Amino acid sequence: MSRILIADDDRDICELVSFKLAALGHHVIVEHDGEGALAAARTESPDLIVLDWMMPRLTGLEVCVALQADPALARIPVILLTARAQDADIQRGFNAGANDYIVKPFSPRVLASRVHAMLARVSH
Amino acid sequence: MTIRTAFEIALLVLSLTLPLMFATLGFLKLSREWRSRRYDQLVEETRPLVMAALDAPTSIDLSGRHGAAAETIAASLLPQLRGADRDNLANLLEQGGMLPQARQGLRSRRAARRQRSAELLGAAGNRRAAAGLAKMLDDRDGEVRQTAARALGRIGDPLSVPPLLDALDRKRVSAHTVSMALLRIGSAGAGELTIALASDSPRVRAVAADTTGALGLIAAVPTLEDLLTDENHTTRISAVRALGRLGVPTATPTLIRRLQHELVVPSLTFDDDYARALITSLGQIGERSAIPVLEQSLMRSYRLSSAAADALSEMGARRAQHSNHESLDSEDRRTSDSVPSEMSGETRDGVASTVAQSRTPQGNNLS
Repeated sequence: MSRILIADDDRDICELVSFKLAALGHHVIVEHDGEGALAAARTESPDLIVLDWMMPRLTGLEVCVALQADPALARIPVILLTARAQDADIQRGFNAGANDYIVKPFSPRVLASRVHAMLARVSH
Repeated sequence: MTIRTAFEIALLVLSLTLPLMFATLGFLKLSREWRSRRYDQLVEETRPLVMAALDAPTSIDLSGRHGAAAETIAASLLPQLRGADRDNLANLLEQGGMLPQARQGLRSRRAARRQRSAELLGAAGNRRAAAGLAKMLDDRDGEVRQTAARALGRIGDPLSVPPLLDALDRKRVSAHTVSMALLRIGSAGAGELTIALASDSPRVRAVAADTTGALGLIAAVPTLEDLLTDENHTTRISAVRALGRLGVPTATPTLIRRLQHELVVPSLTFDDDYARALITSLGQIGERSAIPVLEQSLMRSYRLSSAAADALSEMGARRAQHSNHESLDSEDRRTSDSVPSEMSGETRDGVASTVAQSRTPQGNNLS
């Protein structure tokens, strides 16, 4: 069982993603803003983070940069889940340290597959 | 009764009614908050049911007290989902009676209700609502018309293309909203879009040209070439941009001819935007046969010459990429090496300098 942190200010999306991942046997931690996500990353030691970009207090991108700057957290893989679909946004996301990028509208099933693939890659 | 007595009575009435009024207002506010809290609670209770229903849509009944809450959750979730989960959620709403209600809601007297219904039906991709939504493109409320057009785009039925273009022609819906809807419908509407390129309406021709380019409808190239001499300025430019986006080399000779013609017309009738669009499109297509006319454009106004320099630079950069050249680290080297190699030394240096200047924010003020 992996620990997955989901941070999105949209409660319906959080509920949906956590429902899908919990059904697959993961332990899910939910936050609704960037500061909460960063704090949870420090206290909960997640194996993977699913981050929205546009969040109150700290954006997902700022959280990515803060994670990269902290040697204890830099190893945690991050999937950005966002409605920002421009090429430049995707580049910015990866430059900030995201390991994967999923554009909304999205398929929760595909997200779950990517989470699995990412976790498998990290565990090897 | 003296004036003083009347004043005292008025004061007494006021002192009695004011507290009553405040108490009523307070009660109404509390009651509204209580209802809102109860509804939020209901949404919280319904949310897990909706999530569970995404995996097994037939196992859960969301009609009754959970119905309205499920509709709120679905309206928020549907635009963010794709694939099987979106379909399951839409099925759930159909079975729960929410989508049939929304289809009825399209005929409501209240504009807000019509708009909410159109949004939900669009988000659910409900094809059964397409005909009703097409009628709403003539709604008396402008916001409702825009929402209906967006909903038709989300539903993606190619039969919606003619009513959308008709609403555009009659200025019932904005060009931007119609373009976005047509893009969402995608290549399924290719046939109708190609016909629309020959429409009597310049607004329709322009939007159809833009959309065919964005969708990559290569079959439209000959018609787009015809539109290069359209009487309408916006249509001409849309056609040029579409050809550039499509990147079909066979369009190059026509674009070159149009640019050559623009470069020799008297200055009063010269169309700067059109000429720049032609230059940019030739750069996007990237055929070598365009190099002489692009070089010729370098000798014109700053706007034309910088567009030509960018076009030549883009052609060079693309070819450099094709040849798997090493990436270059200095801006100057990138600039000079990105210029096509068949140019004469002098022109090549000139282009490199113009490219460098056009990348400087105040490049045209340096002289």
